[in-house]
Amino acid sequence: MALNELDVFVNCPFDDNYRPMFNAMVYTVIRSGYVMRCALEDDDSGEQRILKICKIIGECQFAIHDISCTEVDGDPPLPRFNMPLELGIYFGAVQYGGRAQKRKSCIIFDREKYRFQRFISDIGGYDIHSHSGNVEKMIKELATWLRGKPGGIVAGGGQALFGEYQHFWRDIIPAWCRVKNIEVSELSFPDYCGIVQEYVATLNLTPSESALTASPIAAPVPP
Amino acid sequence: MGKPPRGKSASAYKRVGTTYDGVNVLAQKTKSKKFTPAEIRAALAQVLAEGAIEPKRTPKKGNIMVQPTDDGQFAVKRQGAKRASGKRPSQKEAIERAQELEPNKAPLVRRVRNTTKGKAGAFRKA
Repeated sequence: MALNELDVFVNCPFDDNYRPMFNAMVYTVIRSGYVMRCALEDDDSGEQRILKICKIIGECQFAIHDISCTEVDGDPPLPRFNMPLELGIYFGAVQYGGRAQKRKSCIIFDREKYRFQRFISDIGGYDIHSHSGNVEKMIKELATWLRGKPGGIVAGGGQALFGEYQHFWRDIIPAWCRVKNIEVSELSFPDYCGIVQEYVATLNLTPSESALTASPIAAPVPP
Repeated sequence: MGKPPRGKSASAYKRVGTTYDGVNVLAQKTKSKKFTPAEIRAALAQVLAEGAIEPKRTPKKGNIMVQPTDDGQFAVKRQGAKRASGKRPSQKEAIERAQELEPNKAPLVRRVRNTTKGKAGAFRKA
């Protein structure tokens, strides 16, 4: 299967605890010049979820895998296997999917750099990136990785991007939701993607130019 | 058996904008079912006009002015700008906002119509 050159598949939890990280990931991917893909993108499809995921993995040149949330949960306590499963499907696509699939590239996140050796040691040899559960660190790591790919080079790098995202999430999203009379928690993934896309499209001024007329709660000007 | 779909090359993506640092903003595959792109843009424009952030296309020039709007509020606007930098419910708050934006320059404020001092409706320095 041929690849979409700027599609990025995101494999991560979709629960409320992980939501801040996921929202930051979506912003970083779109802001870096890519198309965001994940299992949430089409809720109406009658297709089995695993088949949908396989299709998306097959189409995307790039992937972000976050295996940091595999701890036990619920009653009885059971670990969450979806993220390692999708990581395995990704490796299968690379290995058995033909010449085009071998051009795939991914970044793997975990909470700590070598924690994976205790529960998924087969992926030893890959460079695992640690975000320590911290959104700022994740954005910096992800932005640095995406800079090396063909999408685009964000001026100022991860630190500037984090400042932008903070302003977007703290100021723009709540204000936008107030205008549309909707709670932030009611935004679905497609809604959020659409807002990010349209907002990033308005970023056609340098931060120093926009800071001249920004409100007191405006984004910080990068050094 | 039919041919497999061709992948999309970088140049085949639909671009919805370009940021100041040259990054192409691509149309996302997933589409909102609640809001059209036009609705999202319109709400965003309203948010930006209310002063959350002001992405303008040209560097700032000209005086800052405080003038009444049709809905009874007071807009803070640069000369020559299409959109206001901010909007406040009272003239006093709008003047304060203007002074935040340009601390070293007095904003020009439209003089009230009913006054015996100076020319009614003209701009004066705050």
